Amino acid sequence: MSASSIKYKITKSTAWILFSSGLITIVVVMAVTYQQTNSQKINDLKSLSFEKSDKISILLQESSNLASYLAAFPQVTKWTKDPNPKNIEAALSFFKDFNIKKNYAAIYIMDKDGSVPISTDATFVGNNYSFRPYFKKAISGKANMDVSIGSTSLTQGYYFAEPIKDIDETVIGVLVLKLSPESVYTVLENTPRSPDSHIMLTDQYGIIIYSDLKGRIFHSLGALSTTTINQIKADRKYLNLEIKPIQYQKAQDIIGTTGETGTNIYNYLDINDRAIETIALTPVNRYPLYLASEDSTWELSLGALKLAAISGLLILLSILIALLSIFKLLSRRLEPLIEINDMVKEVGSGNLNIENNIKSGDELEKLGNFIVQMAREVKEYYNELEEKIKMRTKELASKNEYLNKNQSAIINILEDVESEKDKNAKLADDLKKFKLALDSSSDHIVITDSEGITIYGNSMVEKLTGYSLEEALGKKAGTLWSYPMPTDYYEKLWKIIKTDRLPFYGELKNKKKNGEVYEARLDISPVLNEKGEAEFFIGVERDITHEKMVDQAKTEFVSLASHQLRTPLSSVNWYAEMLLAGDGGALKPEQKTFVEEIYAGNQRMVELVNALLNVSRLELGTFAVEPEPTNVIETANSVIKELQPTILKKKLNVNFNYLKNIPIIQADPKLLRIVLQNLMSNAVKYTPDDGSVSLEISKNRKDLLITVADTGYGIPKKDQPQIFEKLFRAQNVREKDTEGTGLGLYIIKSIIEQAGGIISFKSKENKGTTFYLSIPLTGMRKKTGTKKLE
Amino acid sequence: MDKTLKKRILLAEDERSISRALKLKLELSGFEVEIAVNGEEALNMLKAKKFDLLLLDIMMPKVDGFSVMEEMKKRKDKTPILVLSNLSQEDDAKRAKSFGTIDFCIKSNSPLAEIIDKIKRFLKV
Repeated sequence: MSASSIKYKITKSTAWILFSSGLITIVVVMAVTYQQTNSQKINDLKSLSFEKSDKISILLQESSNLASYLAAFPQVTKWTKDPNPKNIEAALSFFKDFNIKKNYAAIYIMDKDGSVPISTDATFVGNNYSFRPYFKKAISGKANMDVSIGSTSLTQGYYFAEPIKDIDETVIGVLVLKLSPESVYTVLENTPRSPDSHIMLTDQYGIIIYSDLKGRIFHSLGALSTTTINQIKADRKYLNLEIKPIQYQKAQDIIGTTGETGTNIYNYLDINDRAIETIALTPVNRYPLYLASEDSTWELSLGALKLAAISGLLILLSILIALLSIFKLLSRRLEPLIEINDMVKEVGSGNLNIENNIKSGDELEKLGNFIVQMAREVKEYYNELEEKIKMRTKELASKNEYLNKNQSAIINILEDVESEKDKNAKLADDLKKFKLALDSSSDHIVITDSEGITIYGNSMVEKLTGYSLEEALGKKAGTLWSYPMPTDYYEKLWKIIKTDRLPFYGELKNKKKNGEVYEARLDISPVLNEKGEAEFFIGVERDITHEKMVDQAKTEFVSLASHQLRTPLSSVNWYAEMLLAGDGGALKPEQKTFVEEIYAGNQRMVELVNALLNVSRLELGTFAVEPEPTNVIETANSVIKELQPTILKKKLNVNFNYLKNIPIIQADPKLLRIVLQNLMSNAVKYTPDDGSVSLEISKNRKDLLITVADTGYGIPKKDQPQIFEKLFRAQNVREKDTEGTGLGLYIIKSIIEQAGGIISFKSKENKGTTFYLSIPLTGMRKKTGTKKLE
Repeated sequence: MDKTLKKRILLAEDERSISRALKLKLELSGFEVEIAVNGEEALNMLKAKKFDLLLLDIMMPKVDGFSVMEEMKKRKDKTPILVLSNLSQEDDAKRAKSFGTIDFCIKSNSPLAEIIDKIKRFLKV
């Protein structure tokens, strides 16, 4: 059962988690318990050691004080000097009074040679103990204490030795108190402590003089040095006892080293580096004794282990309970999952009519509902699909029938085509002739489809570009020989021919296959079909490199010529001007008139040169039209102002008629001025005195209209067709007036037409002339070029 | 007018009749005028002396007017320049203007009085 497998998996993982965390808890509990009990025990050991050493110290201090007290008695000095029987008796009775508690095994006096004349223990009398270290020290003036086994009593004793001094402070003997060890033992025994802890008292060499373990007495804590052993033997401290060491070498090593104060703790390890015993060593005040207390560390850790084991058991128990409850809980919770499994199996086997029996009220119930809904939808979709298939099958059947019908129709058409073959042969013949005609053209001709893909090229294509027809066919026209042009050049070209469906005229640079760059004039015309869509494009291109070079040469010549002409003209101008200004002295009236004629004639020459320059620039097509917002009325007024002197001189009547709201238009102000200046000056020039001249500026929907009318000589009918031609002057004005270049109207017409405007006139001889000028309201057409007109 | 206070003008012009007329008229107007007959001479004179104004022709032998302006720009010579030329191509005028010239006068189209006026106005005399 799959559900139970999930159940076991979850239980297993939970068990793992619980067991491992339980294990960690046990280890931690153990470590903490161990640490705590251990440090507690060590503290106990320390305080035990310290307390006992303190008590012993107090006890010893008592005896030490008593010895000092007794030795200071003057009688003691007297008795020592003269130990006669009377004195001995007095001394013994005196000493007895100080030994009421019987703490002292003996109180005795030694003479300066170490012999005992007086002693409460009679066995000592007459003996010599000069070998004793306590005697040696005391006789040299130092009070001291020592532990040893009495050579006479053969019992252990604590000897307090005090020097006996004469009046002159010379040491004459030694007073000794021998404290029996029992009083010390009383302090050490009956100590409440843990069963495995022990107490030891050692002498200054680390030799145990008391232990609750009797077997350790007269053993050293650790091995003694040979010097120490020899010293002990020489002092006959413990008679001839052989001192054997026990296991506390570390403590032994520290004993006897000077400056050891306070309690020291030493841990003793077994072979496995496990702490097995701990010993606390405390010096007993200033006495040559040490108090050692020890405890077994193994016992300490056993306590920790027990605690850990109990807590471990408890944890295990709770884990088991937890696992059981999880297992039970999962069994109940996973019941719906089994149900779902069954439902999915049902759907899988094709039964789409299932019901949801899960009532758990959670996501699982929702899932059940969803499966039921899904099964329903699948059923519906299935039904729908079947319906569609039925329908399609029907459609196919009817289509097949239709195709059969069409097939026979196509066969009929093919039969018709067969009969057209003859006509086609004739057409092919016509095409051949047509192709021959195109090939013999001196222009490069390309025909493309509506997307610009080359479908035909004449023989000039290869001659001009160096690319063969095979290379050009199927490619976008011109891409093979294109030379980088301004980015919008081709965009504009396409807009004109494809979108506007108008012919394109332009000049461009191309690059031959051999890398040579040439200039070409290009005409492209769209060929429209019945719907008015561009179906083909016919492009005609001509190499104009040579023409361009000629143009360039012409421009340079004109520039040079004009400069060369203008220099002497300037000279004549300026000198005439200086003469008239009186810079060469005052002129006679007649002289002045002559110079004025020179000046005027020269001025006309200047104008002629300027007009010639303009014509050359117009003809080269290199002049620029640079439209900018221009106020036409202002320009007109300034032109009239300039002509004012002549107008006044000829007493002409000038009429202005400007329509209101004439807009500012995009026009090249310099060109506009040239146009108005020429028209107005012509009108003024060719109108006799007292005549009238009028200027009208108005507009219609599309254009700005300028009308210049005069009541002048007019243009004879026969001259009217030629009036805009270069250098042409009408017969009647040539006879009447010598001024005029015959270039003005030619220039105006060129400008107006380049700028997208129209100029026309009406004239009647001896009645007057009216010029009509129209400029699109959208402005003059911009034209890029290198030259401006004068 | 004190001679030392006179404004000094350098006229670079190869055509003797033109330079003579201008010099005469300018001196009558109270200016001190020196003439260089080509661009090379003009550049040498500019190096030697300080001028208040340079009247510069374009088409001159040896070193032309544009080369003079080019060299002055390199030298950081800030002498104001008024171009007097008979070239009237838009390109030439634009090129001259790019050097920061005061104006570009076409000699044949400008009366002498107009040029003198322009100079007087510029030099504030």
